[in-house]
Amino acid sequence: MLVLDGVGHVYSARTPWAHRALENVNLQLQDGARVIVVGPNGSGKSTLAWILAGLLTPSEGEVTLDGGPLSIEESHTAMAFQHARLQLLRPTVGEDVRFGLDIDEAAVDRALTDVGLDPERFRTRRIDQLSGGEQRRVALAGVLARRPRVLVLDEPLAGLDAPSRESLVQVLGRLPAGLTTLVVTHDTEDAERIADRALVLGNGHITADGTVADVLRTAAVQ
Amino acid sequence: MTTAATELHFLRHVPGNSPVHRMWAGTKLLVVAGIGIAVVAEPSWLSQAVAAALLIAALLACRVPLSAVPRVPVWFLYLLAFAGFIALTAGGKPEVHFNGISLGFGGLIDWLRFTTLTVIVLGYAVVLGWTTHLADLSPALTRLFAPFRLLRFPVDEIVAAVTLCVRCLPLLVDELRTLYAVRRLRHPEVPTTIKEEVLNLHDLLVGALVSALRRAREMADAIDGRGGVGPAPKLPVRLRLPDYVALLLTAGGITLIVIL
Repeated sequence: MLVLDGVGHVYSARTPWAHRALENVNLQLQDGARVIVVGPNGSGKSTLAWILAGLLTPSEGEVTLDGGPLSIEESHTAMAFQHARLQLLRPTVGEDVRFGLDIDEAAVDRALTDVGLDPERFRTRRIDQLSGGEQRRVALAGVLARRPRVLVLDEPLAGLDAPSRESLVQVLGRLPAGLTTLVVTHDTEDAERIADRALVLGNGHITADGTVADVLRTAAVQ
Repeated sequence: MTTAATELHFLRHVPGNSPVHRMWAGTKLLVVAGIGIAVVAEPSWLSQAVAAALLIAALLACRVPLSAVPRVPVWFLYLLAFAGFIALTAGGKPEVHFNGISLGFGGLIDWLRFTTLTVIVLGYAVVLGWTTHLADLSPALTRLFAPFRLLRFPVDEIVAAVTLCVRCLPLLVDELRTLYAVRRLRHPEVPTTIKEEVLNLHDLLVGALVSALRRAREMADAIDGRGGVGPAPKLPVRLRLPDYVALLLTAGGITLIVIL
């Protein structure tokens, strides 16, 4: 279980630019939980994402996975960023999925299949020949190949055309069962297809927490 | 868990209402350029003392808290110390003789002189960054470069290029943070050999280069889409007492640097 206990974060602490992004966030995510995090700009969504990905040490509180510290080194976490092109670090799809891992071609093919890409067509394709949606799926294949326990997705659907969006929603809907997934997004259109639980952040606090349908209905009424 | 890439505050504006904050951006650019060029052209200890005295006066006048001072990473200090050691081995006068061994400090003194020179010039840039909104730079540059129009220099294009470079810096820093994060998440093993360090750096640099080029192309397309660069804004210049004081002190400082 992933637990956030009294987590808060202040950027540029003890400087004239000090800015509080999160305050006293308490959260428990069971293994395999699928959660979307919504909220206005500046509400602390990205900070929460970076903390859950293990990229940022919170100034206050602690984050634990099964009672121990969250560790990038032990591949507990993975994160897919909005700008997929920045995440593709090798010239071809196959090389990129294999990057940083000691895996064979079959594992690469499995990772590509998991994200809905035909290995025969894509394995040797150059990264620059891919569409925006394909780039996102290759980036996702790269992080899934690490077999993380926690996956954080930052605005995975932003800027995609309808077919690319539908393909990615289908991929997100069939992610491995035990994988805890946290999707940070402004886009709630397909929220119920990719998550069971929704959190609303406002001014660095969790202001709503519940099933996707309940939380979105309440937000719509307000 | 690890920390993210260090937050970058170099050239970041600190809100305030000090005399330096209230100065016209063009005055500050003139001061930085004037003192900077003079002290680099004549980097003697006395010249540096004059430049440092003016810098200290500016630091006191801008009333920016000490907590804004950029923190230098420890590895950088080690690197600097190593460079000093290498400079010491260069020898040169003055020399000290001890038990039949002579040690020349000429190289070390030159290293120290150029290190302090760099700190002073960077100090001026930091004060400019702390006290000036990025948006104020473009109209100030337009005014300062105006005489070059007579020589048919493409002033509008130069000003647009400089302004875009400064404005895009935060974007580039943000993308570098993402690149660094991606590299850490997908290759979390800490490099243990020089080869691994070089490969790590190579990935980051290539990624940064690709990202900067892509941003530049997008920016160029956006400028084209809006019908080109267009004339830079010409806002009225209103010099106040702090501007006159700063310009007088700068003129005095440059004169001293040249005479000394």
